[in-house]
Amino acid sequence: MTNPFSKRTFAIIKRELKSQIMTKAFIFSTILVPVLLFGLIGLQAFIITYDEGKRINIEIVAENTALVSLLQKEIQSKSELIDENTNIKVSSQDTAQFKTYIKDQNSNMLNNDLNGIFFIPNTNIQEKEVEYYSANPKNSNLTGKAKDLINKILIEHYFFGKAFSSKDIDYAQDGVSLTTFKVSESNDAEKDSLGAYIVAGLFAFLLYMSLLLIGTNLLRNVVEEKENRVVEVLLSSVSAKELMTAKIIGTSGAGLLQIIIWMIPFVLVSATSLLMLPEKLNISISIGQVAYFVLNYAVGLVTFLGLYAAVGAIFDNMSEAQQGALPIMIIIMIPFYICFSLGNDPTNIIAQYASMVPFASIIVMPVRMAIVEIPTIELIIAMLVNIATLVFVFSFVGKIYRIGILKTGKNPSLKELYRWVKS
Amino acid sequence: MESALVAKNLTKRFDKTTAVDNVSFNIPEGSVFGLIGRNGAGKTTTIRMLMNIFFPDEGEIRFRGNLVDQKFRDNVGYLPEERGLYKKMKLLDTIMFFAELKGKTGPVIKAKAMEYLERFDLADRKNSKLEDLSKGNQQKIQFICTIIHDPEFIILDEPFSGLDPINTNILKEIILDLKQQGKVIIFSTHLMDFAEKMCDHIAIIHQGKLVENSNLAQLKKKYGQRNVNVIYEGDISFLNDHPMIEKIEDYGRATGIRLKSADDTQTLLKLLIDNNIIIKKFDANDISLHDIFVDLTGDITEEVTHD
Repeated sequence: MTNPFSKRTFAIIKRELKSQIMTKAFIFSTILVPVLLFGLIGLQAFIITYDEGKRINIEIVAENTALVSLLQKEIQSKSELIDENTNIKVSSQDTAQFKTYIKDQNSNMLNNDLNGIFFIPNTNIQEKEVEYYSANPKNSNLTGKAKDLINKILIEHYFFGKAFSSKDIDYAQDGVSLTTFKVSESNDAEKDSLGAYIVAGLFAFLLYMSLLLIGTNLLRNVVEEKENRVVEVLLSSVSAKELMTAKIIGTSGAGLLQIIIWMIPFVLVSATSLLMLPEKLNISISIGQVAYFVLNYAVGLVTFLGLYAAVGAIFDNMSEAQQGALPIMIIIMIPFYICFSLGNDPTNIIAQYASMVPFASIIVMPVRMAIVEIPTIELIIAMLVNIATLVFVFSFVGKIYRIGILKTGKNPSLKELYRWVKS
Repeated sequence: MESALVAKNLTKRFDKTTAVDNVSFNIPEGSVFGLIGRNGAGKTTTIRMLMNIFFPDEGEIRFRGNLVDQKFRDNVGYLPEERGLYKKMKLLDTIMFFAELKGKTGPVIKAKAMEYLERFDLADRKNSKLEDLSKGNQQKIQFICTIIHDPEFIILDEPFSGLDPINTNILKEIILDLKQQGKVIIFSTHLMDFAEKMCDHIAIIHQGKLVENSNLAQLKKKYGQRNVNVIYEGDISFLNDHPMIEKIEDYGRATGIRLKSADDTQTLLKLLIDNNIIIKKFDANDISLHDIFVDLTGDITEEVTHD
C-alpha cells in the first residue's frame, strides 16, 4: 500500500543522515578513532624498532691473537651474526695491558661513546668464560649482539686442526631457528603474527563502539521526535512504517560510512608497507575479510537499529529510554567480552558457538575470523543466522514503533507490548 | 452546499475504550469547519483518522468523492495542538524539509518560504536554529510548515495559542486568505470566541460521540430561543432565583440569561427597567457558542482547564 522508498521517505533519509553525520561527535570519532588506533600500533612498532636503528659501538679484546684474526675474518665477511648497525672493534692485549686500557676507556663508556668491551682472557678459554664491561651490563640487547659471534670463533678456534671440516663446525654451531606458521585451509600457510590479534582486538572494539554509538543516536532521535511531537506532523505526511524504514536507512548509512572510513586504514596498512611494521606486527587482511566485515556490520546494524527504534518509540524521554535500551546494550556487550576469550584460546568452543548465535555472531564472527581460518560453512551459517535474526526482529519492531510512537503517558507493560505485537 | 469531505460512521476503539463512536459529518467546500470538544472528547483521534494516521475500525472518509489515501495526505496541512519541530534545525531548512515531505522541492518553494518568513517578520533569521526562537516565533514557523505545500485541506489545532495580538491578526488574515482560495479548513479549538468568529460550520464531539453538527447560524437559532444577552449598568442580583429564570450567568456588566419560556422575554425587559437598570444592549434569542458548548458538554470549570 505504501512505498517505503518514495520521494517523501527520501527527505527523511536525507535529514536523518545529515543529522547523524553533521555532529561533532560523529566527525571526531570517525576521524580520530583510526588515527588514534593506528597511532598506537605505530608507536608500538616504533618502540620495537627503535633499538635496531641506533648505532652501537662495542669492542672485543682477546689475549690470543689467533682469536683476533678469526674475529676480523668474521667481521669482514659480513657474517649474519653481526648487526649492520653495530661497529665492532677488535684488538689483542694481555691481561695487564687490558687492566690499564679499561681504565682509559672508563669515561668513553660512561658517556656511551663505547657501549661495551668484551675481554677474552687466555686463562679460561676452555670454559668459554668471557668478561664484559659496560656502563649498562644487564642490557641483553647489547650482549646478545656479540655473544653468538664470540661463541662462534671460540668453537672455530677450539676445533682448528682437529679432524672436522668447516662444514661440520658450521652445523655444530647452528642453533635451532623457529619460524612460526598459522595453519589454515588454504595451502599457502601464512606466517602467524601478533598483527592478527591486534586486528581482532580492533575489530571487536570498533564493532562494539559503532553499534552502541549509532544505536544510541537513533534512540535519541526517535525519542526526541516523540517528545517534541514532531512525529505527529511527520505522520500526517508518511506512514509509521515509511518513517521507521527511512530513519533506519538514514542512520545505517551514517554507520556504514563510519565503518568504511574505519576500514580504509586497515586495508591500506595491509596492502601497502605504509607503516613499515616489523614482521611480528604484520597486519594482513583479505578483501574477503573486509567484505564480510562490512556486510555483517550492515546486517547487524539494521537489526540493532530496529530494536533501538522500537525502544525509542515506547518511551517519552531519553533517560527512561536509555534504561529501556539496557537489554540491547547487554546483547552487544556480552559478545564483546566473549571476544576477549579468543586472546587466550582462539579456538575455544564458546567463541565458536557464539559466532553463530543470533546477535552475538555480529561481533564474534568477524573477530574470530581475524585470528583463525573459519570454515566456509560456518560463515554461511552465521550470515544466515544474522539475516534470520533481522527478519525476526522486523516482524515485531514495526508494530511496536507504529503504536508506541503516538502513545504518551504511562509506559506500557510487557503484556501490553505483547498485545501491540499481536494486534 | 457541496461537501468537500464526508466522514461516515467513524468508529475507533483502543483496547476496551471507544474513543470515537459512530461519528458522521460533512465539511462543505470552502468552509471553515469548527471541530470542538473537551479534552479527551475524541477530537485528536478523529483528526488522526482524517489524516490516515489511524485507520478507523468502522466507517470511511471520502475527500471529494475518493477514499482518503496517500495522495490525499500530500494535500493535507496539519498544525497539531502540541507543536513539534526539530530544535537544532535551521528555519529555512525546516520549512524546506516539511515541503519535501509533501513532495514539493525546488526554488519556487524556497521563494515561497521566504515570502512567508517575511510576512511573519522572520526573514532575517532564516539561518537561526529553531531552539533560538521564542515560542511564538516557533509557532509561526510551524504554521508556515503546515501550509508551505499549498494544501487543499488544512487542519489547525489551536492555531492561536501562544501568539500575541499582532501575530494573531496576521494568522487570521492568512487563514481567511486560504478560505477565499477555496481551501477546506478544519479548526479545532477550545476558544469559543475564535470558533464563533471564524467558523461557518460547527461539530461538537462529546465522549466520542457527535452531539451537534450544523451551520453556526442554525445552531444559534436552535439553542437561542430562550436566551437573552444583556449589557447593563446596575445591580441585577434580584434576578437570582427569580421564578421566570432557568439559568443566569452574571459577569457584572454583561449577563447571559436563559428563561424558562420564550414568552417571558418582554417581561424580563420590563423587570429590568422597573428596577432602574440601565440597559446598554438587550439581545433576545442570542446565544454564544460558549453557552451552547457548555450546555452540551458539561460544566464550565472543567472546560477552561485546558491551558
